[in-house]
This record gives sequence, C-alpha cells and structure tokens, in this order.
Amino acid sequence: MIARLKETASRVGELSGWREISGPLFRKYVALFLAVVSVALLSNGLLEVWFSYQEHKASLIRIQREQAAAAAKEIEQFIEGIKSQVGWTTQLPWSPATMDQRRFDGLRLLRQVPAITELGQLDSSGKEQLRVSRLAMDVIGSQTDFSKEPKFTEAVANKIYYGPIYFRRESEPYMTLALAGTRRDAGVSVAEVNLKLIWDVVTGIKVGQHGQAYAIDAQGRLIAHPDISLVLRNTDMKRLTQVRAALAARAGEPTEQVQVAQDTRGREVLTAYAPVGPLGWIVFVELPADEANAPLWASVQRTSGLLLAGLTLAFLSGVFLARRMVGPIQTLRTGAARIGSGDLTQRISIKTGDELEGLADQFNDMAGKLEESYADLEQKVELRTEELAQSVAELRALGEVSQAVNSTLDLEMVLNTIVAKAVQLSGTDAGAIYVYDDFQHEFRLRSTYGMTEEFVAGIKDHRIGVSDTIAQAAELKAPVQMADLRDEAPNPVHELVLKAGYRALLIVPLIGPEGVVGALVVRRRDPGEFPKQTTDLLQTFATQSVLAIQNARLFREIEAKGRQLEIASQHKSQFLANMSHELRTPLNAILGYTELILDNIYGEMPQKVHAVLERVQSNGKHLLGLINDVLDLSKIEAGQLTLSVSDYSVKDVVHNVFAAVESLATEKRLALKVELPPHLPIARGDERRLTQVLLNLVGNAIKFTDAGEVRIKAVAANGSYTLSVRDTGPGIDPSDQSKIFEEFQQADSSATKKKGGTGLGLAIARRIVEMHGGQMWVESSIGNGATFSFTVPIEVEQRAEH
Amino acid sequence: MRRRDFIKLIGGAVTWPTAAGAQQSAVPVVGFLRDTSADGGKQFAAAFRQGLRETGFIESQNVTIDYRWTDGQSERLPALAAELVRRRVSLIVGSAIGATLAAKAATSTIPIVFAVANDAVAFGLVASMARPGGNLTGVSYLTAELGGKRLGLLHELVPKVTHVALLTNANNPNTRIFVQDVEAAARSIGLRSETFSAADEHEIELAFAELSKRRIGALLVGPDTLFTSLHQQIVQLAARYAIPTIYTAREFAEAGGLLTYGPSLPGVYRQTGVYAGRILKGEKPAELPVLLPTTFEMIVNLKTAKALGLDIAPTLVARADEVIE
Repeated sequence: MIARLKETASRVGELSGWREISGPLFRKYVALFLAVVSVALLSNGLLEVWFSYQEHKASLIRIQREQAAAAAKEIEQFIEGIKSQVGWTTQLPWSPATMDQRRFDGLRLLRQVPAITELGQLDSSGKEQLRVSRLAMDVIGSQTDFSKEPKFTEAVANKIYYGPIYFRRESEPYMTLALAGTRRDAGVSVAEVNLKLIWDVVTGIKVGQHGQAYAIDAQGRLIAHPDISLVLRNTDMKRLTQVRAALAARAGEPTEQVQVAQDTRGREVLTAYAPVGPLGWIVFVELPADEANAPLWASVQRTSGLLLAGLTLAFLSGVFLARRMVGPIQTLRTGAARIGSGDLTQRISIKTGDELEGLADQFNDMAGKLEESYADLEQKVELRTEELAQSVAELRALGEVSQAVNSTLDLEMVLNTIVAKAVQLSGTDAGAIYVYDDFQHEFRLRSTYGMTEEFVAGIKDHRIGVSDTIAQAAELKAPVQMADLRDEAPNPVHELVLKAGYRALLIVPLIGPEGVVGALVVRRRDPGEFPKQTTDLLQTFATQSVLAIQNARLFREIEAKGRQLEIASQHKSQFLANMSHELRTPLNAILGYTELILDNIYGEMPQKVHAVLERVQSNGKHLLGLINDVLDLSKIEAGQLTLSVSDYSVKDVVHNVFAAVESLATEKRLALKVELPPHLPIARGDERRLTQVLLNLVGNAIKFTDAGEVRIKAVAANGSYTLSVRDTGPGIDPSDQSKIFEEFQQADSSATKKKGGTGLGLAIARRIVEMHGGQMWVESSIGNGATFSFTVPIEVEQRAEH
Repeated sequence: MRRRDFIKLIGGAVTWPTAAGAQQSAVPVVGFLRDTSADGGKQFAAAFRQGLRETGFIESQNVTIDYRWTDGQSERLPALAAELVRRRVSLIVGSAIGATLAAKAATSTIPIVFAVANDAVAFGLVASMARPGGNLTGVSYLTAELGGKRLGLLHELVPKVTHVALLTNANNPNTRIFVQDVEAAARSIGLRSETFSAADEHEIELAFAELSKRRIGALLVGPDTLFTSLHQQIVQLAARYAIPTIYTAREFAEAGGLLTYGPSLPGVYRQTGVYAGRILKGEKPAELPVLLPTTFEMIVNLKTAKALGLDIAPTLVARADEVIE
C-alpha cells in the first residue's frame, strides 16, 4: 500500500513537472504558504473547539441539574402522594363498626398505590388492629404490640416517620412510612413501601443516549437505579466522589462542586444532583463524558477534517502559486545557465508582465550583445590566427634560412635558400639576390628564384650600376618599392622585368658593416603596394643574407690567408734548413781549423795567440750551439723533432749533468749539491734530450746565481719522477715567470746582454719535457732564488708535437 | 491522467478506514424451553419477545429464538435441553421450574434465564437472590408463596366454607411450599384443608370427582404449568361441580375461573426478555440479581360467580384488578 502511494505520488510529481520546478525557493514558498494557512486554520479550529467545549459542558451540567431537580421533585411528589394516601387511612375513628371500612380503605389503598405492599394500622396504644397485604393473608385485630417501635413512637411524636431502607429477601428495598392521625387518638398507619417502584420514576429520566439518573438514601446506599440489579445488590455508592460530595453538601459541610467524576463502572461522567426533600435522599443525573463530549469530538473531527482539507487546498494552491512565481525564476536560471555555457543564440521567454519579464528582456539583450561581440571576436581571432600562421611560416622560413646560413658556407646554396624563402613568404612571384662587387661598382646577380632562364640571362647581361634603382635603394639604405612599374619612369631593367610579366617590385638593400653588400629583390605580377609586413620580412632576410655573404667572404679570406701562411711557413723552414746548413758548414770549418791550430798542428803558438784562439773557439762553439738551438727550435716548431726513445737511468742523467757543470760551479765559487733518493727508476724516453733539459736548467741556475748554491733534487713518484734545480740567485718576479719560457726571452733583456745566451734554452727544454708528457714550472720570488722543476712520466711513447 | 490518479488516491484514502471496519458478527440464538405445548406458552413467549425488543433485539433481525415445547411430555425436557446445548445457543430461557432444572442440568456455561414460580435459592438455581453466581438468573415470581393470601381471598369469597381443598401436582417441587403455606394460613383462621394430587388430565378429573363427593366447599388450585396448560379443563370441571375455586393465573379467569390472584406473568416474562437482552449484550448472569414480581393481579369472573350463585361482596369486586363479566 505504501509503495503504491509513493509510486503514484512520484508519477503525479513527474507529470506536473515537479522536478523542474521544485527547488529550495519553491519549497520555501510552498512551506510558507502552507504554514500561514495552517496556523490560521489550526488556531481558529482549536479556539473554537475549546470554547464550544466549555459552553457545551456548562449547558449540559445545567440541563442535568434541572433534570435531577425535576426527578427529585417527582420522587418527592411520589412520596408525598403515598403520604397523603396513607394519611387518609388515619382519619377513621377506632371502633368495631369502622373496622370493615378501615379494611376496605386499606385494600383500596393497596389497589391505588402499587408501591405499598402492606398496610398496617396501629391504634393509639400502638397495638396492631389491622393488616392488609398483597402477599400474605389479611389479618384483623392481631393486637401485636408495636408501641415501642420507632414507627409508632416517632410517628406519634413527629406526625410522620420515614423508616430506614431495608431489604426483603435481601433484595427488595422497602421503606416503612408511618403516619399519625390528626386526632390524638387516631393511631398510626404504617405502610411498607416497595421502593422498586421509585425506579420507574428514576428510569423515566431521559439523560441523553446513555446517561442515567439514580437516587441514593442519606447513608449513600443506592435506592433507585436504571440497572435494578445494582439496587437489589444493595450497592454502596459512597465510593463515588460525587456522592460523597453531595452528601457532604447536604450535611452542610463545605465542599467543592463535582462536575466530572466516575460512575460505578469507572466511566467518566458529567454529574449533577438534587436533594429530595425531607427524606434525605439525593438524585443524581449523570451523562457519560464520552457522550457529553461526543459533539465535541464530532466538532473536533469536523475541524480536523476541515483543517486537513484546508491544508490540502493550501498546499495545492501554494504549489500552484509558487509554481507561478518560481517558474519564471527557474526559466531565467536555466536560460542564463545556457547563455553562460556558451549558447548565445538562447533567448529567455517570460511573459508574466512583471519585473521578471523585464529581467528576462535584460538577459536577452545581454545575450544579443554577447553574441555580436563573440562574432566580432571570432572574426578578429580568425584574422589574427591568419596573421599568426603567416608569422609562424615566416619564422620557420627564417629558421630554415638561419640553419642554412649556419650550416653551410656554400654561399650559393645559402643565397638560393634565402631568395626562395623570401619569394615564398612574401607572396611574390620571383626574386633575386645581387652581390655588390666593390671593385667594379656594380651589382652582380648571384641567386634567383622563380625567374625564367631567359629572364635571368637578360638581367645578367644588363649590368646594374650605381644609377639603377637597386643602387638607389643601397644609397638610401632602405627598401624601395614600386607598386607598378608601368607608372615609373622607363628604364631598361624595368622593361625587362615588365616583359617577364612582373609589375610590382620591392628592393631591399643588403647593408653590411662596411657598406652595401648586395640587394634582395622580389617581383610580383600583380601591381600594388607591398604591405609593411612583407617589407619587414624581407628586411630580416636581407640581414640574414648579409650575414651569409659576410661569412662567405670571411671564409674565403681565411682560406686565402691560411694558404699564404702555409706557404710562408714552408718558406721559413726551407730557409732555416738551408741557412743552418750554410751557417754550420763555415762554422765547423772555423772550429775545426781553430782546433787544429790549438792542437799545434800548425806550429807552436804564443800564449797570447793561444788564449785568443781559445776564446775564438769558445765563441765559435757557442755560436754553433746557438745555431743548433735555432735549428732544434725550428724543427720543434715545424713539428719535425722526434724523440728517440730508450731506457735510461735518471740517476745517470743527474750524474752526467753534475759532472758537466761541476767545474763551472767551482769557477763561480758556487756550491753544487745533489739530493737523490736511494732508488731512482729506470725511465723510458729520450735520454740525450732530457740530459739537455737538465743541463739547461742547471746551467741557467749557475749562470744567474752569483753566490750561494745550486741544488739538484730528484724525487720519484707513481709513474713519474721530478727533478728540481734550486738556486740562490736573485729570483724571478712572478710577472716574468711565464715570459721566461717564451722564445728569445730572458727575464731581463739587459741581463741577456750581460749573461749571454740566446734565450732559447727554457723554451726548448719545456717543449722537450712536454713532448715526454711532462710539465715544467718555476717557483720563485725576488730575492729568494728560483726553483725550476719538471716532471716526466717514466713511460713515454713517441709523441709528436702539434 | 494525473487527475485520475489523484482522485483514485483520495478515494482510496477515504474508503480505506471504513472498509477495514466492517466485520460480520453472528446472529445469536436464544433457546426457549417450556414444558407445555406451543399454544400454552405463546403469550409468555410473546411477552418475552417484547422484553427482548426493549433491549434492542428483534426476532429474525438480530436474534433467533429456538422454541422447544414438550407438549406436556415432561420426560422430554432433558433431551430438548441437550439439543439446545448442542446447537450452542447463546442463551436458554427456562420457562417454569421443570424446564429450568432441565436446562441447568444440561449446561453450566450457557446462560439460563428462568421464570419460575418458586424460591430460586431454595431450589438451588442460584446462590443468592442478590448475587446468583453461576450461569442462572431470572424472575422468581413467588406464586407458590401466595397460598396464604389466596386462602384469605377464598375465605372472603365464601366465608361459610370450613373445609377447603387443594389441587396440587405431586411432580411439582413447588407443591410442598404451597401446601405448607395454605395449611398454615388455614390453621390460623380455623379452616381445614385437604390436598388432592393430580398429575394428568385423568387424575384431575378423579380429583374433582372426589372432592365433590366429599362435599368440600372451596378449592385452591396449586401453581403448576400442567394445570395452567389444562386451564380449560379445570375451569370446566370446577363449573361442572360448582366448586368455588381460586386459581393462580389469569388464564383461568379468562377461561371462566372464578377468581385468580397472582403475579402478572406477562410482566414476568417481559422482565426475562429484558434480562435475556442484557445478557446477550454481554452482562453476566452471575451478576444479575433474581427479580421478584412487583405487580399482582386479582381477577374475578362475575359470570362464574353468578353461575355459582355466589354473591361477591362489592368490596372484593372493588378491589379486583380486573372484572370479567
């Protein structure tokens, strides 16, 4: 069932377009509307119910009280009736003659008052003289003495006696009513009244549908009730609050009025009572609270039914109204969303004739404008994209060109690439590059693109000189364009161009740092201006072309120079070789002859001559040494010096050098020391040259040291050994330390003159060490001497100097 | 489409509670057991039905009454009672002591409402008049105990008669009380009483013949359902033998009996009807006290009086509740 309800509700919702509309705003409106209406309805209903309940209850109680009073009255009257009837029987005097009459009166009383079951008559002395009964036989003159009984005594005293209620057969309520006659000797009539007949009175009271009336005696015992069984059962009613209250009120005690209490069956009842005259009885009229409240419940039901209906109505109208309200808002929302998401053709349609419609119109306006501007933008974007594409193409072309320029020195190729790209990108039909020939002062056609051979030949023939357009452009150092050659002054070149079918011309001069280098020309068949874009592009190409041309030039120059250098070097080597040979030959002769002379081959020489000849010899040797050195150096420089590699002992090298320079050192009174470790390796290299190196260093050390010592130290390390020569000479300034290894240099040129030497030794020595794969360096400072060291690897392979 | 759904929804919601409510309840069956023929008990049944009607039960509408008559054959009572019990009646009405005792023997759970002429407590029908306990309750209409009163009336009617007769049914348990009452009363006013027993038509005939032979001056007919059902015969016999008789029930007077005094039986049966209705509505018989009759009626038949040549004192006539001329 619940499932079916849900299904239906959802279907209803779908069909009414619920989902589109329902949102927080919608729900809010509906809820608000519903709340307002329901509050109004509810409060109204509740108030009404409350007030009507109160009124209703009050009126019911009033009615009940009236009924009770009426019933009490009736009971009173009933008793009064009995009283008066009984009273009649006391009228006759006591005499035998009247006995029959009495009897007849009694029997008639029984007839007329069904309530009286028995009538007894006592004479003035309290003896029973007559008894008539319904149930038993009549008895006359029994003389039973009742003079002590209250029914006699009290009746005599008070004229009337109401006896307490007793039960016959434990089930029938009876009351003794005794009435005394008016006359002093009248005696007392005693009636046994069956109170079951009062029941008729009480039950005759109609209290609503299920209400009832009952009567209790002064002790709280039930004496009349619609349910006779309760009466017969001798029910004690004092357990009911209302009974207690009524009894208390009767007794004059202050008590609260009880309007709502419980009845014998525990049901809640609306209760009212009225006392019955002198008997001390109380009549209660009770209406079940349910029945009393029934109209109330009915009213509540009505109200809630109404409320429900009202709520449903409110809900539906709320939905309807909210929909009317929210609908346009929703339309606006979705419309705006669609516009926002890019669908600018969307227009929102709201025809409610209020602010919302105005808003929708505004939206539509906005959408329209957006559409326009979008279209505009799109156009612009297209345009820019085109331009961008163009630029990209140009850049690419430039890139290619640059690549070409950088990757090859083939000027032809470069220029071809440039002109081709230039023509392609400028949207022209043909192009050419001219290179300016400085000597001839004319532009030579170097590269073309898109030009027919005939055209090329024609142009080539025609030499473009200074007066030509190209030259003008070069003069201006700016591009020159001709939108239509036909409009220009006639010109043989132009004629050619026109003949070839081109009408528009753009010339871009190629300007290098030293002036015009050439020109780039593009030609178009269609006449018209060349856009700035094209001019700028060609300008760029022009720059590239300049670069290319310059590169090419430089390369050629370098090539040329290189060749010249080659030739020069060759000449030099040739010269040196020749010269050294030429020099050595006579020098050897001189030395030879001098030797001979000193050896006294040619007779004894005087001492002076001997000394002189010795000086000549030494000078000559010196000169030979120099020539050798020069030759060596040139050989080394030419890369023609080779090492003869063999095993050698480092120790031996040191000792040899030591031996060679010992005398020199002694001569200058210098100490010559040697420090050698216990084991020096056997190395592999050019022994002679290395000895030469060490000799050079030690020699220099001795030469440049005037006092002190020269120390030779050798150290062996992993795979190499280090030899150092320390002197206590003047030292070498750090700034000169590099200089001294250069050719033809000594630290101090003045010293050269003093000390002699070609200044070649260190340079050569270093070269030799370097050829072995070693190093040579110096450590020195002014005034602290100098230490020249070199390291040589033990294993040396043939290495040619570069 | 959606409106249709909506209406369906609303409609369903409204009818749903009401549909859930309806449930069929069975029509109760009341058994009416009497040791006479249907004819003999029809007015009592009618009075009973009236009492039921007063409580809201109308025959063949919301209650069914199953009448079981013995047609005078008292030995059928137990079987008939058992039948009613088998039929699972909601309630059994025991009309007169014989039927009531049979019903009581047949069931101790089905409520029994009786209308008996005797002391219910003395006959073991109930534990006490005010609170019966058990499953029996009803009206105890004391007719047997009115014996003394009846004698008084009879004496008033024919003061010269000194020897009175009693017609009783030995089978009737009430008889003893009746006899006691009458004998005590007779003694108190100095009359002689003699009891004649009869258990069927024939014996009644014999009894009458006998008491006539004995020249008994007046007769009291004891309260008995048999006698009541044979009231015609008895009245005729009384007339034949010209015996002044006082009876217990009005049927006799209507048939020609001279004098009757007793509780108003229709009233009694109406009361049983009311009780039956209340029990059907759910009250328990154990808590419904036994009722005593409140109205007694004296009916005098002047025609018969004249036929007997009796001069009835005007005072007596004046006292009569009903006078048949």
